[in-house]
Amino acid sequence: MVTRREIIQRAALLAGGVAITARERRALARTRVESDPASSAKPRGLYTPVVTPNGSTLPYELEDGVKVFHLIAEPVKREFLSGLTVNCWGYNGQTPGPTIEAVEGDRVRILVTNKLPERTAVHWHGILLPNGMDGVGGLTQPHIKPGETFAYEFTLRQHGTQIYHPHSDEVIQMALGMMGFFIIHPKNRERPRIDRDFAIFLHEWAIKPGTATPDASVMTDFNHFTYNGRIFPGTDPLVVRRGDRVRIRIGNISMDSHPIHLHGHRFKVTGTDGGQIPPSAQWPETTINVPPGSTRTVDFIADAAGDWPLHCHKSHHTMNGMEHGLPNIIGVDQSGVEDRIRGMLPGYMSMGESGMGGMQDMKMPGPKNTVPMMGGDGPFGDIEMGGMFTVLKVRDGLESYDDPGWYEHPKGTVASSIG
Amino acid sequence: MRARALILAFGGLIGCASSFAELARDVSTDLSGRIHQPIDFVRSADEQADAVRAWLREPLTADRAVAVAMAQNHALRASLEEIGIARAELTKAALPPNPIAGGHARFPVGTPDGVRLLNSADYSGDLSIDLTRLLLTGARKGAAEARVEQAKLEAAATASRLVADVRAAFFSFQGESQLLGMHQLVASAAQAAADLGQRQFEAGNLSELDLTHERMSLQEARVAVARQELKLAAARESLNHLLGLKTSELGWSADGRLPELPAGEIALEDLEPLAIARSLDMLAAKQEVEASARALSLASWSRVPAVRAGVSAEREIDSPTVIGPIIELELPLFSRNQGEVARAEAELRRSELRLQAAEDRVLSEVRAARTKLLAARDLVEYYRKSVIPLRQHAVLLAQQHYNKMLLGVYELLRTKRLEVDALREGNDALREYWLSRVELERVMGASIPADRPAPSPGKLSAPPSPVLAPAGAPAPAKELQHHHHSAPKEGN
Repeated sequence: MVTRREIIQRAALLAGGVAITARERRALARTRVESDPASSAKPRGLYTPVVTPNGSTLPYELEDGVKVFHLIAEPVKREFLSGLTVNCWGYNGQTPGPTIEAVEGDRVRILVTNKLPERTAVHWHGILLPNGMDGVGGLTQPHIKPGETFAYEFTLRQHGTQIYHPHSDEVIQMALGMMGFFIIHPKNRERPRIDRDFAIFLHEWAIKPGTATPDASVMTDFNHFTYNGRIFPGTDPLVVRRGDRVRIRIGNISMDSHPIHLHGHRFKVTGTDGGQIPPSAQWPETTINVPPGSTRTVDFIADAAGDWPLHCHKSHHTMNGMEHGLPNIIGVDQSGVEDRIRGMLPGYMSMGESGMGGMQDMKMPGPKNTVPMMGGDGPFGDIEMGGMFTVLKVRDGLESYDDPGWYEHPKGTVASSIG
Repeated sequence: MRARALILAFGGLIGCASSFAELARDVSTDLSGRIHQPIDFVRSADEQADAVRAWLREPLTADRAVAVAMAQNHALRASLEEIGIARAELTKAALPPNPIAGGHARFPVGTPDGVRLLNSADYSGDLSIDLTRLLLTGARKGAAEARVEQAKLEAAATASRLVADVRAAFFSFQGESQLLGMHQLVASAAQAAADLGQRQFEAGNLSELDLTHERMSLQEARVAVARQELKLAAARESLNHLLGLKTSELGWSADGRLPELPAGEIALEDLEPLAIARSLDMLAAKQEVEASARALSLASWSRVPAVRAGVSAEREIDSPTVIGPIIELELPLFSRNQGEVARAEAELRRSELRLQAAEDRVLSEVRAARTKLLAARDLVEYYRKSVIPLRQHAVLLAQQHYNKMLLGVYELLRTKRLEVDALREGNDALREYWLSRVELERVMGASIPADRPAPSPGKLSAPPSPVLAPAGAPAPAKELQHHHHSAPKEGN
């Protein structure tokens, strides 16, 4: 049912102006589309625009009241971290593709141009739409041939965190990074209001050391793990004011589940790609497991100041490019043997006797296009993390949501040596 | 021809043949020229012993080994004596025939008176000389001289063969020595892997089964070292034998690395005339032509019927003594020695044709040996320029992967082993090169006057990559006892 408010707003749009209330004006002042400064998304005051760290929001044109988006499916070179650039496939020059943001009730038209070397199709995961717009190549539509542009058009009649991804040669196209968020805000303003809204797309990659192209045939043995196509320490922090109501939406179409854990806070699980979870059914977690082919949305109040890790709790997923099948050297005394080997290989250094902790600072040269297994220079030393890891920075008195640097701990609240 | 023979004959009666010392010096000079190394067969025993002692004090080189062999190899010295034998034959042939004297005295039976005995005795006496033989002295001497030349040539051939054998044995020795170094390097890597495995096992990080596999590899490597040590000992003994060394002289040392490739190879056009001039096969064939010519000359002279001329005296009983010349003459009614001459003529033609055949053969052998040499050179260059650098690059890349914990240490050692394999194959190719070169020299009968290689550190034995330092080579794993040979210097 179309509300009166909507009629006024649409009429106002058609007239070329926007009628906004005072309340909306105040809300407008607080919302900015930080994730994409060039976005032409008009803040409508109905929702807090989603921030896609290390990503962007897809702009749209309004044509006769229809939001027209343009996705270009194409090969993309993505820098996961300085020193590691990967040959991916994505949308509009990035992987994941830009976040599509719309409001329940909007009619959307998404143009998809295929610049890939093979045919494709785009599926709108979790969205209720006419069958012919579902985007399953061969089943609901012809495949989009290279060079062609297809138009998908439907009216949004739900809200929540959805995603889009190919449904044509999926193993290859998804392994190479084709995916993106499709976030539909409720038609009525959400209460309580969300102050900060983040979207993080998880993914896993199998990139052999010294190469730059993911091996799509790998089923279980992945070695790089990304938040929005970046690995720590290359992931942007999530900056919030203390007291902000924070929402984090997590999407996953990789081959594994990822239990994403937040330090210092408890959150409620408030949504899936099936829709909103009624408040009485929302359950508390510190770790939300995100299975393949789903999204999970969590809300919480950022009530503790500090730098709080947000990371996948599968420890291998916070390592970059770890190889498997190496000799087990933990606890092995290599004295004497090291010298003997160095006699034949002057650059040789024994490693691993007391773990992998030295790898962050390993200065010896490595193969091309590889990065240290772990990294991150923290205020107290090496953080020794990689992959699916970022920091939620909660601060008092922020002027803006730019990176505020490291947390300045109050005296006496830092664990320290006593002897 | 006959006038010459006469002059020769009288010349032969007056002149002397060369002394043995002069002949030996000829052979020395000839051989020195062939191998570009001073050789002296005329030294006294003491001088020789001193020289050998001096040579054996320093590390042996191919040239020094040849010098020692020339001085000490008894088979060679035996063949030099052949010259002496031929020279003795020459002396005999140069002498004119002894005159023959004969006579008789006959007394009447039953005459009692001593004086009347003498007066009534019947005497005769004659003295003759075989003229034909006298006239043929020159020709005979010529033939004997040819045989002396032959003996010299054979001695030179024996010496040349020995030179080639010694050089081949020396390069083989160096090759085996380098190979031993390679095997020891492999054993060292296997030892390191086994040691690490042992430590892992003790810490509970490796199963006994996996440890056993590492130890099995180590054993394989040690067996290879032992076998190679045996080969090296055999090569050493071979050299001992060729050099005619006494038991006290067996402790010599030598650079255990093959010399580097010489800068270039002599062109085929330059080799061919050298081969024709120097090849012992060619010289022997030429000598045979010369000998056949002289034999023909002798056979021609043998057509002359046998003549004996001399003087005879006689006194019969109650007769005055009579004296006069005697002559005996073979009447060539039936045999005029046609067969001998025809045979000699045929033999001369045959030896001329054989000379042609020898030339063809020598040129062909030179071409074949040179082709083999060039192919060996190409292989050495390929190893040095392509194969080994690539293996070293693999080690560098493996080290990079290892640095980032992307590759295990066993895998790194295996990659290093592949590099050592290439070094070993490269050394084998270098040895093949030097042995091919000796073969060419053997065919040529002379050392090839290309640039003499400087005995620089064998590039194929010392890995030049920056990943591998020249210092700090591991101590070789010695499993067997060594008896009295000094350890050759190994390549790093």
